[in-house]
Amino acid sequence: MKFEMKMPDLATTDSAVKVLNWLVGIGSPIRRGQAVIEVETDKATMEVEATVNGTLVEKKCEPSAQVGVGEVIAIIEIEDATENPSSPAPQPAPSVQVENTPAPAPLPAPKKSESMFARNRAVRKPPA
Amino acid sequence: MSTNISSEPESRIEKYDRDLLLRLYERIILIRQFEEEVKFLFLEGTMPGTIHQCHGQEATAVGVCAALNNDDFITSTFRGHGHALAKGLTAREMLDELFGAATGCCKGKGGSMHMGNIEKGMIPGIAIVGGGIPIAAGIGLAFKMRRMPQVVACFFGDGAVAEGAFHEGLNMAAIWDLPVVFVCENNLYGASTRIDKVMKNIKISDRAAGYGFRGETVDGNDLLAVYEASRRAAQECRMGQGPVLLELLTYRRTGHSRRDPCHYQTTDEREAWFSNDPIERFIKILLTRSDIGQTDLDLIQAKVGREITDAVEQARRASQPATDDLLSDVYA
Repeated sequence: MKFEMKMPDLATTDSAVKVLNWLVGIGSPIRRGQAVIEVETDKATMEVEATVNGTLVEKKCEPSAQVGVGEVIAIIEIEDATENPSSPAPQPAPSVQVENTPAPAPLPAPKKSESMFARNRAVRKPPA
Repeated sequence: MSTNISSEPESRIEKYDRDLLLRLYERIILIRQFEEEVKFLFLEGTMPGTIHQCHGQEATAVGVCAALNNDDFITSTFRGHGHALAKGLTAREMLDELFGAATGCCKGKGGSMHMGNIEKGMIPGIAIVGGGIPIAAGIGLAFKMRRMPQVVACFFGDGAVAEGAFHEGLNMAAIWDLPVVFVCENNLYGASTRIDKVMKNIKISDRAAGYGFRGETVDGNDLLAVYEASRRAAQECRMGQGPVLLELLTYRRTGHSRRDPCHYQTTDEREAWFSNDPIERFIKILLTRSDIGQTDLDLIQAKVGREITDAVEQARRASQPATDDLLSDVYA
């Protein structure tokens, strides 16, 4: 299964992030939590960690490129779906009583790059 | 009051109830795993907003909150995930909150920096540095005037000590003998500024003497030491002996927030503190007990892992607040 690794909002301002260096090469195995790319935000240089286990199969950006938040920066081949995407739960697994509340119906997907706050603003009526 | 915390952890752990120890382990591991999961959710980009994480500081939250009763209160800060989980909030209500869902502990309107649940004795986190201190004094005053037996534990960091609110809150609690345990989590850095650049006397517990009450510095990465010191402090407050200032020495393993790569912490310092990890230390002394084995810990870890995985699944699908609710719960 191919996983699209996206540029996180490391500056927390939604601004583009500059790519400095790749820390792993094509074909390299990657672990969740491993730093794979070094970037520069408006404030600092930082390393970006992978969120999945797998193998790097494609780099989608080159050093010195300005990459927008949420853009795909790499393709990672995930070998074992059971290892992803959440924290590994060690064996053995005991039976646990989970609160039995039905999950609420999911909302329609928001439009791309539109936050909850933007949508709320859009529907807010002007004062009378 | 009679507990001797100077004894070695291996010897004093024998005095503890097994169930209490395993509950402490469950809480401390829950906080670490929760913070790990939340870090990856941030990196994925599915969860909105920045986060201030408490990797490495878990023992302070667990030790203090375990020493309190359910109806005691805490006030927290922008770095409040650990405090909330330690006070009994569930991973589920907190992850819902992080995703801005209406089922979150603050109905999706608070987010990371305002975790709380009044029913569980935690007013939503106060993100203003030092802002919780006078509020905690106010809660303590309410307890005293109503002759209620509760105490309030007020969490803040070393950076808050330089705020005017620190002086105002501690002084007021002192003159009125209020039942407040002031808990300074001294992680050596106020954001990126090291404590010795802004304080001549870096022993923060010394400040209590200036206000006329007791201060104590505790190894904040020793869970049982924090628990015992907090028990003593809470007991003194309940007996009407006024506030106590606890300084808990600990260390933040991550940046101040997600946008901070933490370059100002030196490698030597980081390695020294990483080898002093509160969870690894607690596991080590837990396993000296003949009635606690690795299997017990593995089972708890698995349970916590599943609790978090389920909560994430729920939070991803949870409904956001309706626009009609925009002005509900708004006071001004």
